Parts: sequence; C-alpha cells; structure tokens
Amino acid sequence: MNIQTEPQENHTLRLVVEVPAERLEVAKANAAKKLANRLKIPGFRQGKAPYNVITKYLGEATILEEAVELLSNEIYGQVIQELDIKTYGPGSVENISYDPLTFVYSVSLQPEVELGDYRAVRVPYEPPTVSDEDVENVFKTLQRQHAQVEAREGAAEEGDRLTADIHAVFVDGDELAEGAERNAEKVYRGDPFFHQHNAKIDLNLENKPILPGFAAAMLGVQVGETREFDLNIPNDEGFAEKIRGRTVHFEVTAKAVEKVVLPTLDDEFAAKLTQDEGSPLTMEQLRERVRLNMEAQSAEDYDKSYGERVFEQIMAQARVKYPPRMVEARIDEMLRDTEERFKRDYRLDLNEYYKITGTNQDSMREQMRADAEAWVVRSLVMSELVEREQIKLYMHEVDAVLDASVARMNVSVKDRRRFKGEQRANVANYLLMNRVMFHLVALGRGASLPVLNTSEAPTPDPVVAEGEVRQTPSDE
Amino acid sequence: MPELHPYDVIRRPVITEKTNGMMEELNQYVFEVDPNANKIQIKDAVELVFDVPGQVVNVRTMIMPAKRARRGRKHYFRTRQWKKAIVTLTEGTKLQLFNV
Repeated sequence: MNIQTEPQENHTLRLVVEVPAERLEVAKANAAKKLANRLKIPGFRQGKAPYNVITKYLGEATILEEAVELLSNEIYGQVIQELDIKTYGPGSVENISYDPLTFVYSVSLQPEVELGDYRAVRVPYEPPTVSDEDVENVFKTLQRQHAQVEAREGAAEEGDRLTADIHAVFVDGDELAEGAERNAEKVYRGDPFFHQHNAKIDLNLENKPILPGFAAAMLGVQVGETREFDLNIPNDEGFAEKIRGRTVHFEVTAKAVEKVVLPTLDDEFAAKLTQDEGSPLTMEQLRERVRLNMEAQSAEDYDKSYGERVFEQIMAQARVKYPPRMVEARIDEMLRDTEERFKRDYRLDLNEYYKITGTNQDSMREQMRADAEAWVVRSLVMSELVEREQIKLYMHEVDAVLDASVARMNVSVKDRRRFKGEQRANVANYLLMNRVMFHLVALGRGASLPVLNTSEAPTPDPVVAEGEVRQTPSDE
Repeated sequence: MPELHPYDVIRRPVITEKTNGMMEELNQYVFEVDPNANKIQIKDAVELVFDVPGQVVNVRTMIMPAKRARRGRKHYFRTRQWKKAIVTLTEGTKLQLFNV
C-alpha cells in the first residue's frame, strides 16, 4: 500500500492511499458475499451463490461500490493506526479514483496550543477605592426609594414630583412633503420627540430629566397650567447622532404637583431598613456595612475584569492551531441555541425567520463565524491553561455546593435529585471559572504560584506581590 | 415435423447450486433443450454453438414434468414440461456460458 501525507495549512492532513489490486479483488469477493446474504438468487440458497453468479445478478458496478465502501473504512483505520495520527473527529473521503484504486482522505488533526512564557505576563493591579461620596450616593438612592410624597398646593418647587401630559416635537430640519417617501435615517420637522400622558418627572436640576433645561422651565408651574417652550438637544453621546443639536418644542400640561419628602438619614431610618434582622442597626453601623459590601463588590468586579485582561494578554501571545471542523461544530451549536431561543421567546421557527429577514442559513453561519473562531481560540487557551496550571476541581466540591443550594429549596427529594443532575455541569463550570480567575489574578500580579511538577513548565516568578494576597474566595 | 436447426436446439443453460457444482467438479453442463431434440442433435449443437468440436463425451436427457404452482393465495397454474440435457465434456474443456 502506497501512502502519501500532505499537511495542509488549516491544520488538516491530506492522505493519498494507493490500494494494490489484490486487496481490491479480496474486497470485491467479500462485498459480493455480504450482498448475496441479503438476496435470494433463483436457483441458489441464500448466501450460496458463487461470485460470478452474484456479479451477473447484481452487476459489477454494485459490487465495486460496496467493495470500495468496505475498503475505505478498513484502510482509513489501518493508515491512522500505522502512522499514529492524532485525529480530531472522523476523517472524510475527499476523492476516489480507480485504476489504480486510490483513496484521498481529509483528516482533521488535534488542536495544538503553545502558551509560551505565560507566567511572565504582568498587568498593573489598581483596584478602585470606595469613597465617602460613593457611600453617600447609595444613601441618597435609598432616601429617594423610601421618600414620601404629599400633594402640594401652589407652584412647583425644585425637587417636587410633577405629573404631566408632555408632548414634544422637533421644530427644525426639513419638512416631509406630502406623499414623499420617508428617509429612515432622517428626523423631520414635526416628528415627535417625547409623548406621554401622566408622566411622572422629578424636578431635580442636577439630574436633568428628559432634556437639560426642562426642570428649570417647569419650576413654578401650577396644577392645570400649560407651558410651551423650546429646548435644544445637546451634542452629547447620551443622545442618538441624528438628533443631536436639534430644537424641540415642548407643550406640557401639569396634572399634579407633589412634594417629595426625603427621610432623614438617622438611626430611625437605619432601623427601619434593617427591621427584618435580629437586632436593627444604627446609622453608623449601616454605613460601615454598606461600605464593606461596596468594597467587597468593587474588589470582586475589579478582579473579574483584571483576570479577563490577564487572560487576554495570555491569549495574545499564545499560538493556537486548530482544524476548521472545530469552528463549524461551534457554529452548529450557536445555531441550535439561536433556534431554541427563537422558539422559546418568539415562537418562531428559524426557517420562518429566514423568510422574514430575507436571509438564509449560509449567511447566518457567516455572521457567526468570527464569534465562533474567537470562542474556539479562547476555549483552547483556557483548557491548556487549566491543564498546565493543574487547576483541579473535585466532584465532592461540586456536590457540596449543590447540596447547600438544594437544602434551601422547598421541593421533594425526587426534584432535588433532578435539579442536582441538571445543574451539576453548570455549577462545576462556574466553580472552575472562579478558580481560573483567582489564578489569573495571582499570575498577573506576580504572586508566587505553586511549582508545577512537569519538566516542561517554566520556573515560577519568586516575587511575592505587595500588599495582601487574597485568599481563595469562598466557593459559595 | 419441421427440421430442428442446431441453434434452436439449446434454449438456455440451467444455473443452480447443483449445476454449478457439476460444472466445477464433473465438467458437466446442464441445458434446457427443445423437447423434440435427440442426443445426437444436442451433441452437435453444443459443439457448434460453443465451438468445442469433438469435446462432448456424453449426453443424457430427461423430461422434467410439469408442476403445479400457486400465484397469490388461491390461484393455481401448471408450469410447462421441459427437456433437460446434461452434457459431459472432456477434462479441461470449459464453456463460456452467456457471460456467466
């Protein structure tokens, strides 16, 4: 058997195998026997007809087809084993030519990841601090949430809540001529900007509700009064590009004016907020608790984004080779998820979606290709990192977390078991990601990491990070 | 009776598991022949049609009786009676039987 291997650029291998004629004849005899076992040829018991009779009955072509199919599987297995090729998924037959019989296989190879000196990656670690102003802002929000409103007799003052019918239209720009086709990118004179009945607006000059100047324009309004005024939309990123700098005419009719009474930030307020707890807290204690919570949350959020940045640097210097099949498999998965989501949320079949939007599956696959490739690279680098750093997760740890969640649920034993079975993979993934992030944060800060017991692993950086090195976060 | 032309004597070869064995082991070939053909005519016809002059050693003939057969559940019909000829050839002679 003559075998030629041709490595391709997309991490696949092309195998050209020439089969000797004797092997084909043996295969044809086997194929004929296999086919005859299923047939009743007149004059012969089942499976007893000789080769020439079967050939005459079925035709040379049928037998050759069957023989080639049998041979292609057999030879593929033999070649893979002989050359010790590490394949990713089953190979496929690209071409078959006769005389001499030659098979051309296309085989996807196992992906290869080269992380390089990833332990040398360093990213500056600058966690944000929680200021007194941040804590005060939280209490201001709590005040507004627990505010009392009383109807006000007389003119609206700053801080009051106004209930009004608001109608605002654009007064500059081109007018849409009667019968003319509307340009979707343009906003014409007379187009509505804001239209709502009984809108509740807090007349807070700092927050600038609706547009800057609205609150100021409505100060002093009486119930039943209608005011008209023009305002400009600022050239701000908060507004869509096509409406920045335009002028809007407002017609506002006040329906009700309410005075907003904010509760005082005292121990009574703190006690009211913590009334469900065993012993209610004082304002100082509550402030401290809020600060600690904010610090913990801010540190957690920062660590997540920091770990992500470290990982991105590792990805940037990694060299990854993978076969196209991995990307196709990921696109298939993404399409399945999309189809399920459409069915669940919109009760729409993908084919109907294609008809409505005038697209087809191929164009959808092309749209998803970039994301799929990024996902493949990311997951390969992540897997390699987990393996190199020997980040382990044991089943009993996953079970411990599951048991704790399930204990809080008020369901039957059967449902608990089902829940545990369904959520096991999700919980395991979540815990593993937490550990990886913790590892990445330590890596990026240059903290000392465990020495790896493989000879290929690079020596760890002995520098310990300044300040406190965070303990393993609790997994619950 | 009109004269039987040599090419009309042999109608078809009989190919079954048994006759296959006979071809391989005993060098005998089995044909369905015209019911009016005699052994001499059969011998001459084989030598002419298959171009094996003087290689036919023996010819045996027999009339195969008609049998009752069934088509479907209840409809019976009679198959026709036919003449079978077993032709023995000299060792080493092989016939090309209509691409079989």
